[in-house]
Parts: sequence; structure tokens; C-alpha cells
Amino acid sequence: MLEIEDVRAGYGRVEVLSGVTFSVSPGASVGLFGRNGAGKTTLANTVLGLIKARGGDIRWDGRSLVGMRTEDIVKSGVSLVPQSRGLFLSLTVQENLVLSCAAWRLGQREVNERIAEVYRLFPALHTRSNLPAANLSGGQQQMLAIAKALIRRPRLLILDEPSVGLAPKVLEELAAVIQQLRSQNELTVILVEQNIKWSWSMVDEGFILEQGRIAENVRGTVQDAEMAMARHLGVG
Amino acid sequence: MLAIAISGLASGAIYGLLAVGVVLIYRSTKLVNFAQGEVLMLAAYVYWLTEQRFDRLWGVVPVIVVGVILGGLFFVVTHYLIRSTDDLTVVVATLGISLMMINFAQFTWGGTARRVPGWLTGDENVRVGDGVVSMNSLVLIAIAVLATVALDQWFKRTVLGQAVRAAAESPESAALSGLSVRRMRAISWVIGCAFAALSGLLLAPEINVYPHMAGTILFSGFVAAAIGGFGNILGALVGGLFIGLMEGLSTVVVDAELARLVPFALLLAVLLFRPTGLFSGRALRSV
Amino acid sequence: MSGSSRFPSFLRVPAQGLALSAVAALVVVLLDPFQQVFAARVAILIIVAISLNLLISGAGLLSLAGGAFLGMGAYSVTIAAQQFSWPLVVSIPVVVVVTGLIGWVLGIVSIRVSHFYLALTTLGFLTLFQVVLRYGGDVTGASYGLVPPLPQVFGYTLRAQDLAIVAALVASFGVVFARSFLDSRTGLAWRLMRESTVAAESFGVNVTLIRTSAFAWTAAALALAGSLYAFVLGAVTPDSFNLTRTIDQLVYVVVGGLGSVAGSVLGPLVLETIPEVFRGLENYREFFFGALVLVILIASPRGLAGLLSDAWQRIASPRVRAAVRKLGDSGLTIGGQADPGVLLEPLPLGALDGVAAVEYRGVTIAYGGNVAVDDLSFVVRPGTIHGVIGPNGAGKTTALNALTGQVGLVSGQILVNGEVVRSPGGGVPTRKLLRHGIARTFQTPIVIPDRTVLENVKIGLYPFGKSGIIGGTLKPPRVRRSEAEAARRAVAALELVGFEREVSAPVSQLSFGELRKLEIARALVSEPSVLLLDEPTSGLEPEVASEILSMLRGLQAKASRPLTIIIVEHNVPLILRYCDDVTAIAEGTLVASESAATIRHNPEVRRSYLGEQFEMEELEREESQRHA
Repeated sequence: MLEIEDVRAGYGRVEVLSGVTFSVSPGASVGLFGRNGAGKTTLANTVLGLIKARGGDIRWDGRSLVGMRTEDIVKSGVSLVPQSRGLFLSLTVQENLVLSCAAWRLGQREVNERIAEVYRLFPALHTRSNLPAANLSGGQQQMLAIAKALIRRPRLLILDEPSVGLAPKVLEELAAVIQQLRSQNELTVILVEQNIKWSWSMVDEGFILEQGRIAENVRGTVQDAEMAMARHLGVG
Repeated sequence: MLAIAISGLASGAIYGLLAVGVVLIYRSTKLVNFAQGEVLMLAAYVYWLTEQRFDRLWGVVPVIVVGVILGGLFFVVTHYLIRSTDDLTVVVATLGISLMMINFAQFTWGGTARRVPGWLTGDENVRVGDGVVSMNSLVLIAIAVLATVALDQWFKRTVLGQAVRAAAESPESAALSGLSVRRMRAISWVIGCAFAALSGLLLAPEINVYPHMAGTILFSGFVAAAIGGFGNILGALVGGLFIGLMEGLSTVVVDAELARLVPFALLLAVLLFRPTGLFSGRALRSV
Repeated sequence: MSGSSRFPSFLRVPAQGLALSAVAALVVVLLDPFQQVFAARVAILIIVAISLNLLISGAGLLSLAGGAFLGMGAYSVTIAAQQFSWPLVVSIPVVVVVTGLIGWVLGIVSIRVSHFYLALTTLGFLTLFQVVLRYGGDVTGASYGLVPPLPQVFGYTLRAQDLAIVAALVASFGVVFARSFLDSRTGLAWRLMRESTVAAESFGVNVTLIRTSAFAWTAAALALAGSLYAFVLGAVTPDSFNLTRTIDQLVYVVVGGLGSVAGSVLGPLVLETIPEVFRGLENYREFFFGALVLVILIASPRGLAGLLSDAWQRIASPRVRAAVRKLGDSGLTIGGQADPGVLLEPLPLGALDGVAAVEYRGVTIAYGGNVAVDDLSFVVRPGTIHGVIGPNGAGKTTALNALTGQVGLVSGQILVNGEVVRSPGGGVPTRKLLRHGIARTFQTPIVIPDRTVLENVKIGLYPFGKSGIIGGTLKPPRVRRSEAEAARRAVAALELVGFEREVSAPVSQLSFGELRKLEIARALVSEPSVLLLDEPTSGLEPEVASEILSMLRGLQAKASRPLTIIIVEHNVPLILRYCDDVTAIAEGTLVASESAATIRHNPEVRRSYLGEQFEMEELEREESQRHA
């Protein structure tokens, strides 16, 4: 269970989040929507400790994450697929995956097992396992980024705008993968997105982040969600 | 002539080893360690002390250990104690440490130069062309090349090496991958200083051990690093070898005094013609 | 504030110099000859430290050529006296000027070079100097150096005490001048340049000129110190001016405290005196010295000055602190005599009738193989507030940066008030924009950190000021009146934006919203005809954002000349509420450009925000249906 309570955070003197509160039940899949600059990425980064929360609390499984180092937060089962994808471009697909397990002194067999698992989910990566990550297409890089996060068998997975820059066909594949993840009961998913239309089929509900706070909690049809978003964008 | 070239390459190998350490530490922490030469010096003293009591072949163990310990100490001081975000301040702190190290050696062991035999080779010399070189200098060059290539491969092929590289290139992505950036930096400091220590072990037989032995060697190391583009350890080694070779040849072609200026001349050349270094593809950021 | 009006303000700086010199001279006289030589050395090191400190933390240039310029002063004066029998009163000024010119050359050579490589370049220069010394034969005495004759002025031989007094005098004036310089128009420009060259250029600072002049002045100051040093040392050798000595100089600056003039006095004082204390422990001197450096830097990253200032804050009461501050400041208060319209160069012309304030014509921008902006054309009507919106990566900021010259055009033109300011070949350089009446703010506010609000707004008038380094430092009446006028206008600009704090507040105390207002005031103070705002409300609470936008609306009524405002923003509701016209951009191309009232219902705009995929899927479906 992820509980975010009155979280404040920002950069330097700028306060981007001014009291964000919401929670996500275990196994649920939610969307975090909002316009540019609303603070979605800031929130994701704050959960992962890349940005220090200045106020409020973030609790995962009852334990407060605030003040913990990012690598420790990751080790406690929280993974973020950042907007920048977080790949090591000079390393191959396989090396990227192995590195993402490196912190856990898993035996070689365990590592191989997990990599095989991930390749089953992303066959395109399997065929390119020796290619440097820099040579992958945008969609494949996104897959690799998600694979890296999954290889740690996280219990909370946050994806920051995975759809950006991807072609429709790739978006379909990506959606299929995320749906598959959703079916795993132990995995809680937070999908941070601007593209509501694409995201809606993958989430149970949506939170709209506006001006540093959660402005609205949306359920229902995709039209409901889009209208809510349009209202907040001011273009509806 | 060949002998001069080899002896030049030997000096160059030392510059290269120092440069490798400097580059490694810089890439990982964005800090320039001005006390790298003093690590070399203290390691040389440790070798001398060991060699007096035990078989000199064992000397490598305490030498590397000293390098590791010093690396750890530097990490602790620069990472935890100095709270300044200003690089210049941290650099000056390493300068303070280097002064302490030199003086420590001075009052502990005195200023007399101590002779030590070559680590693997003792005092043997060998005829080369129409000159003579010490076996140690040949060993020196070989070990420097081997060690650097080994390190380069370690970075490219092992998981830990890749992890250190990754943490240096993108600390955030590394943290998100579950890597401890702190630990990676500590490892870089330790390896960097271990290389400096190794160079102390290899250099000591050539110029003897005394507190100021590092002198201007570190500067040549910086120039070697610049030639390598400050990012590439193989480039740094090649840069060092090149500087050494040029220095050696200059003593024959021109004169010894002028030869001391070779590193500076090469530096100017690099800055004027290839500021990004000969090997790195990295762009030079201007203010 | 009124107390200082009794004393003619233009005499403040010289008076401070004389007062400090008198105190220093008195101290010197009370010492014994051995101590006097020591004092002379410390004074010279103070001069060196101050010069380097200004260069490094004032202008942001890390130079390792300190030893070279110090040595040039020392050697040149010695050679002039020894071999040409030039009297000191002639040789010293000549040496200072010539060395300054050489510094200028070094500045030019290192123009495009960044931090670390700049250090290496200057190091190369130092080496060159060493080569010249060692191979100078009889002229430079090669490795043995030279022995300067006894210093004589008009037949009178200077003794240790005299040298020490002269050195103390120069150092005292150095301290006073340095502090005065840092407050001056040029001093502030140096600091802004250190924060961001783009910001500095946007406010008319000629970055190239400043860098070269920074080098030149530092070289001159070092040469002056060097000429004294020759006589204090009694001999000049290459080893006195080598890399190790240069590094010592840097240690003094950093341990004293980067950015602090007081630190540059403390650094040499403490670091030279304490080892004297350790003299008994001769063998351990360097060890303790190194340990001292380390301990000071661990205790306070801002060096001795930082330690002192923390202690001072804690010990002295606010009143005492204020009194001391007044003693030390160079007197640029607001109450000074201001003469409206006088002593500032004329401000830029305003908008012309019937001509678009800003026009983009077929602007295409590409870099790295990507087309960032493609054939963008739109018009901004004069006297309006014009919003520019678009999703992330749409190219809004790139388009703005093209106007201000950070990015070049592949094709098209940008016109301001009918004049072409940007075209594929080039255009008006960034630093001349303010004179063309174009001012801007930045996505993240860029201010001079340890300065006051007033100083940060005054810098907006930089191109219209009339003082250079000398004028700024000495602050003659002319300069004071010009600064007072600038201050008056700055206060007016702050009032215009509804800034509520005291103008003498340091910017570090400001909230983000207040910083944003300050930036706007800084842009407005030169009465531009076009004001460019880059995401002025990002990071602000909704109330503050609205406040700023409604303030901008009100500005146009209050401004004395037609003011056109262009706002690049993400916050669409605010834009629609406060702007007259809006241009929407997506993926580098124009989506729409119309009045705010109508654009709100524009379906294309809506689509560009809610996702292109929706549209593409529709198209694909239509396509497949057509072929079915």
C-alpha cells in the first residue's frame, strides 16, 4: 500500500508540490495525470528519493520512505521507469539488465532466471540482447527501461510518461505489456501520463495533479477522464 | 638512442598510471586529486620499509593496501567532511593533505634519498642497442600497460566495473537501478589511489625514495590525462607514454633543461589544437 | 542613512582608503625591522589574494598564471633598475601597464575555454614565463635570478619600514577599492556573468570584454604587488614564481574565503602568521600548515571569512552590525542626489504605429538533425499581451531563444518593431537587445546571489550606465548621481510590479514569487518596448501566479510607452484569462494564432494537448475504411 500524505517538494526555492495526498491500494493500477509542469515527474522523483520531500510523508507498506536513499528505496521494492528511461546507453541490453540486478547478490542462476523471465515478456529485447542500448529504437528503449525495472521484481512500479515519442503500433504493444503486468496481483502500478486516452484502459482510476495538489479523482469512462482533464487544462 | 627511448617510455608509463588514477577519480566524482603524487610517494616508502624486512617481492601487498587505505581516506574526507560544493575548495583541501603527507614523510624518515631494488627485477640492467636500461624500467612499462588494459577490460566486461562506470555517467539512473552511487565513488577513489601506489612501487627503484619525489610528475600526469581527453583511461596511458618518449628524445635532440618543458609544450599543443583531447569524443563545454 | 549626508559621499572611498592605510601604517611603525619585512610580505600577499579572489569568484575565471604576473612585476622592475637605471617612480607604472596588456592578451587567448581547461591554459602561460626566465641568460639571470638594487625614490633609500608602509598602503587601498568595485555597476556585471553568461549578455554585458579586462586588471594588480615584492625579497629567482607558489596563492584565497575581500585579508594573515608560531616545530611546520588548511575548510567551506562571519552574526548585535556595515559601504544609498533623465544614456525607442511589435516570418530552427521549429509565422500586435502555449517540447522556448539570439535560424526572419533582428545569417547580438528595447526574464530566475534586491534590479540598466571599472571603483560625483538615478528608476520599477519588500533586502531572503517579480522589474527598468517572459508563473502558487499576470495587464496602462508583452507558458487557463492574443505551437509548427477568446474553442489546440494519438487513430481508421 502506498500512502502519500500532504507531500511538499520542489527545486531550490520553487515549490512544485504543495500538499499532495492520495493512496493506492495493493495490486491496484492508477493513473496520475496533469499538464506539463504540474509536478507529475516531481512526485515520481520524490517517491524515489531523487528529490527530498520538504513536508508530509510517503509510506510504502507502512514504512516511511522520506529521507531514505534512492538505492535503498529501490531495494525495498519500489521501481521507477523515469521519463529519460534511465538506460546506460554504452552498455548492451543484456548488460543493462544484469546491472539492474547487480545490487542483489543473487546467484548466477537466479540472475539468468530473471533475465529469461523478462525476455519472455519482451521478445524484441531477447533478439537484441547484445546490441548497445543506444542502437535500439525508441519503443525498444522504452521496453528495456521497463524490463530493467521489472527484473528486480518490484511490488510498486511507477512509469513516468512511457508513451512519449512512440508510434501507435508500439503504443499498442506497450499497452499489452502493461495490461499483463496489471494481472499480477502483487504488483501495484502508477502510470504517470499526459495521454489519457491511451492510459485509461490500463488503470482503475485516475488522479489529476494540478497546481501542486491532487485536484480530482476520476473514475468512469475515458470520456469522463478526458473531460476532467480538459477542464483542468482550460481547453474544454 | 633506443635506451633513451625506453627510459623515456618508463617515465611516461608512470605519468600514465598517475593519469589513469586521476581520470578515474575525476569521472566518478568530478574532483581532481592533487595529492595523487603523494600517494605514489608514501607507497614508495612503504615498499622501502617492507623491502628492508622481508623479501621485496612481498612489497606489492602493503603497497596496494596503502593505496586502498589512502583512497578510502580521501573518499571520506572529500565526500563527507568537506561540505563545500565548490570544486576549487575541495581541490585545495587535497593540496593541504598532500602538504601533510610530504612533511610527514620528511620528519618520519628524513630527507635522504633511499635506494630500493626493482620489485621483480632487483638491480639488474640490460643492454639495449648501444645503451643500458634497468630491467625494472622494462617491467615498469609492461606492468603499466597490463594494469591499464586490465582496468579498461574490467570496466567494459565485469558487472562491477560497468556499475562504477554507470554510476559515474548517470548517477540518477544508477541509483534507480539500485546501485549505491556512494559505494561506486568510494571504489573509484580506492582504485585510483591503488594505481598511484602501484606507480610508486615501480618508480622507486628508478629515482630513489624521498619526500619530494613526486615533484612535477603529477603535472605530467595531468597533461597525459588532458591528452587522453580526461575521460579515457587507455588514452591517458598512451598520453603519458607519449610525453615520456618525447621527453626522453628531447634530452638527446635538444638539452636536458629544455626537455623538462616537454609536458608543458605538449599541453599547449593539446589546448591549441585538440582541446577535447585526442581520444575522447566529448564536447568541450565553454563558459 | 541621513547621517552620511554630512560627509561628501564622493570622498567616502578615498577616505576609507586613507583611514585603513593610517591604521596599517601605525601598526607597521610599531613593529621591529624583522617583523616589518614580514608585514610587507603579508601585505603583498593580501594584494595578490584580493586580485585572484576577484578574478576567480568575481568573474568566475580560474587562473593559474598568478605567479607569472607577480614575477613579471618583480623581474621587470629589477631589470629596469639594474640594467636601465630607471627610477622606480617611472618603472613601476610602466611595468604595471605593460603587464596589464599582457594579461589582456592572455584573456583573449583563453576566451572560449572553460573552467578546467582555462586553468590548464593559464598554467601553460606560467610555464612559458618560467622558460623565458630560465633561458633569459644575463637579462634574467637564468636559474640564479637577479638581485635588485636597493629601492630608491628621489635619492632616498627605502628601508624595511618604508617598504612595509608602502605595501600596507597599497594593500589598504586594495581592500577598499575591491569592496567598492564589487558594488559598482561593472562589479555586479562580473558577478552576473559568473552566474550565467546568457543572463549577463541579455542585460548588455559584453562578456568577452569583461573576461579580457578581468585578466588585464588582475595582471596589473599582480605586477604592482610583484614590483614591491622584488625589494621585500631582496632577490628574484624563478623558484619564487613557479607553480608551487601559484598554488600557495590559491590556497590563501580559498582558505581565506572565496568571494570575500575580508577573507583575502585573513587568509594571508593567518596562514603566514601561524607557521611563524610553529617555528619552534620547524620540522612539522608544513604538516601543521596542511592540517590547518584542511581543518579550516572542513569547519567552514567558505573559509576563514565564513567562520568569522558566523561568529560575527552570533556575537554582535544587529545595531553594531549595521553600524559597521555603514562604515564599510561605499555609500550608494537611495537618498543620494538624483537628477531625473540626466547622466544615463538615452533609453531605447518605442514601438512604431501600425507595425507589429514582433513578427515571426517562416521561422525554421534546426539543431542536431532535428527540426525544432518549422516554418513558424505569427504576429504580435503592439501594446498587447500575447501568450505562447504548447505541449512539452513544442518548441516554444526554442522560438523565444531564437529571438534573443541563443539559437540560430535556418530560414525565415524575426522582426521587432518592423526591424529585422534575426535572420539566417545572424542578427542583433544578444547584448545589444536591451538597447533595441527587448528585455527578457528566464525560466528559472537568474540573480546575483549575495546582493540586494536593488542591486539586482539596477543591473537592468547596465548598458545605459556611464562608469567603467575605474569610475565604478572610485565613485566620483558623476558616477554617484548616475547610480542614484539608476536606483530611483529601479525602485520605481519595483513599485510597478508590486514588490513589497525592502529594496535593501538580500535576494537570498526572497520567496520564489518575489524573485519572479524582481526579474520582471529588472526587465522593465530600462523601459523596453517588448518584454519577453519565459514561463513566469511556473513554480508559483495559483494566487501569486494570478497576481503577477494581472499586474502585467495593469502595466500596459501604467507604462509611459507602449509595452508589448510576450509570455511563453504552460498554464493555459491563466493565459486565456489574461492575454489578448494567443499563439499555440505543437511539435514546432503553428497550430493556431488568434485572440484568446476564440482560441479556447479551437479543436486543434485541444487535440494537441490531449494527445495526437487520438487523432492519428481516427485517421488510420478512416484510411482502413476507405481501402476496405
